[in-house]
Amino acid sequence: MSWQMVVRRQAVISWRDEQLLGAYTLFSAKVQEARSAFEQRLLEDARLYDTVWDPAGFAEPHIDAELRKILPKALADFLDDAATSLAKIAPEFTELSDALRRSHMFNLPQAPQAETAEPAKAVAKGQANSISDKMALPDAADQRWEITKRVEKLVESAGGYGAKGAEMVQKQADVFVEILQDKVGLRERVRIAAQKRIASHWMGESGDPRSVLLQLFRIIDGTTETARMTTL
Amino acid sequence: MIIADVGNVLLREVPNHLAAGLESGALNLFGSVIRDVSTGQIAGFLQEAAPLVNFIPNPALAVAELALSAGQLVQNEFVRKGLARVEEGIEGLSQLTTVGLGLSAAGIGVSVAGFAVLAHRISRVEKSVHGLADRVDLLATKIDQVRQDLIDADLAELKALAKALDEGWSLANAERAERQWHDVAKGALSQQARFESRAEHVLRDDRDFLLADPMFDAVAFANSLRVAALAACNESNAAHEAAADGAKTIERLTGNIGVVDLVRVSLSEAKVDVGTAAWDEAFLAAKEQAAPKVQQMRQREAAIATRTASLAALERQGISPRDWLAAARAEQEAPILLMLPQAAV
Repeated sequence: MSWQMVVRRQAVISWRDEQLLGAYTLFSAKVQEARSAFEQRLLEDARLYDTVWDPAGFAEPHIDAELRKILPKALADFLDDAATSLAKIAPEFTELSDALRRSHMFNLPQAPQAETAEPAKAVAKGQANSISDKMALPDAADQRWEITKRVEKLVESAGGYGAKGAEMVQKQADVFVEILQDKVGLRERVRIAAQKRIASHWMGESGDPRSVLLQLFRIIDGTTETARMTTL
Repeated sequence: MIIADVGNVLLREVPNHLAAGLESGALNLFGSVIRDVSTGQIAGFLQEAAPLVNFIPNPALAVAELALSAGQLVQNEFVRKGLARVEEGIEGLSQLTTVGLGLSAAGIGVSVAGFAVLAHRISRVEKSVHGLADRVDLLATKIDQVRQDLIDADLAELKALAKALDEGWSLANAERAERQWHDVAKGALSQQARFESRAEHVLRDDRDFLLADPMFDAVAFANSLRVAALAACNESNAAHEAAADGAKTIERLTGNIGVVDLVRVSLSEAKVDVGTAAWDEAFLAAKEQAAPKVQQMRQREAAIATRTASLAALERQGISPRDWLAAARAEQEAPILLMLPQAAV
């Protein structure tokens, strides 16, 4: 093997390093961005049922949706830059670089959206939404509803009192929900579910189906291998 | 006298045009050649020489070894400042770097700096292997070859071959010397293959880059003995082929290992959640830790690939490899010599 070939092959492996390390950085930044948006959704939209019984059912479609919003463009730009820098190594890599630029086909995870809950019964007219969004439960025979039904009953019982009494009970219920969601760590369960989803489907290093990061790694590794073969 | 002719093409100082090229980045150092970055043409060849031995007992040696990781820019800086001044004292990290590279298992050019330097190189490999003894025990690889005692025996054999190579230069009878060198080349080939096999097993079954690293060094060292022995026999083509074989072997072993591969191993051990600030921190730390190790791999590949680059140019001027090596062994001043390609044309 001539030393000139070694120079070329080192340039290719250095290109691979640049891309894969760059991919890690890109994914980490985008995941953090998506997680901020997800956090907002968690605070605003997650119901007691989600956090208690189905954290993954809420977390997975939401975190997937956030990442699906921001990653495709970032990945296309990333591959474009990678292709440009590959072509700069040697004119022989122009074709390979063009092929890389066209490798925009990623299988992006999309967890099915959990069923939307029925609107909750109004606690008191005009006060329903803020409470019911967090506590509304589908009418199911499932034993899992037990805890949340009790909460519902507590709130409904306020309906028999006057508006002032209802307001008071509503406030109590809000506080109760907040305690359950935060202090008891229910929201944390959703965050953990989202993190698991990111770790397996978006930035996972192994597993089937391949994470998006691994899909990108395979594209870069495949290109690297072909480029190195041409320098033999 | 032929050695005097060789002396005419050896330089102990870097000419101004090369210094300027290195300064601007138009030239860079790749293994033992100074190359034009835009054309890829060789602008100079480096060759280790006998005074390299002076750096072994130097307390600053430890720094020199560390400085191996400092990178190409630093090496260029050293060459730019002038090779002749290397032995005048330790002026900075930049100077230590190329000396460190010279003392590494791969060396600079053909290995002729004497047994002390060769022994030092092999003892560094031994030290690395012993430092990783606990990892050897944990290996999933259970082949006999990766047993510590067998590794030690092979390293001892390599040291004996280095001694025999050096002794060859002292033999009065040229025929006997050549016979001895041929034996060294044969023995070194066998050791190169043994360590290559170990490195392959450790990489394939355990993906343990840290443990594989001294094996890579041993492969590089064995190959350097092989090339030096064949060059000393004036077997130019064989020396060149041996160097090419070494380059191919080491490239196959380490050529596809990048910083990212070591980073992935570190991250898998770090147990931090992906896409978090803690992960970012672990990622940066892993990158910083991996970069110098991979830089050493690249330097080793470059050193082996360029080992015999000067021989063809020398032969065009009628200077045999043996005379070139003899001149480097007889050198009194500079630990590393420079030859310009024009001088040999």
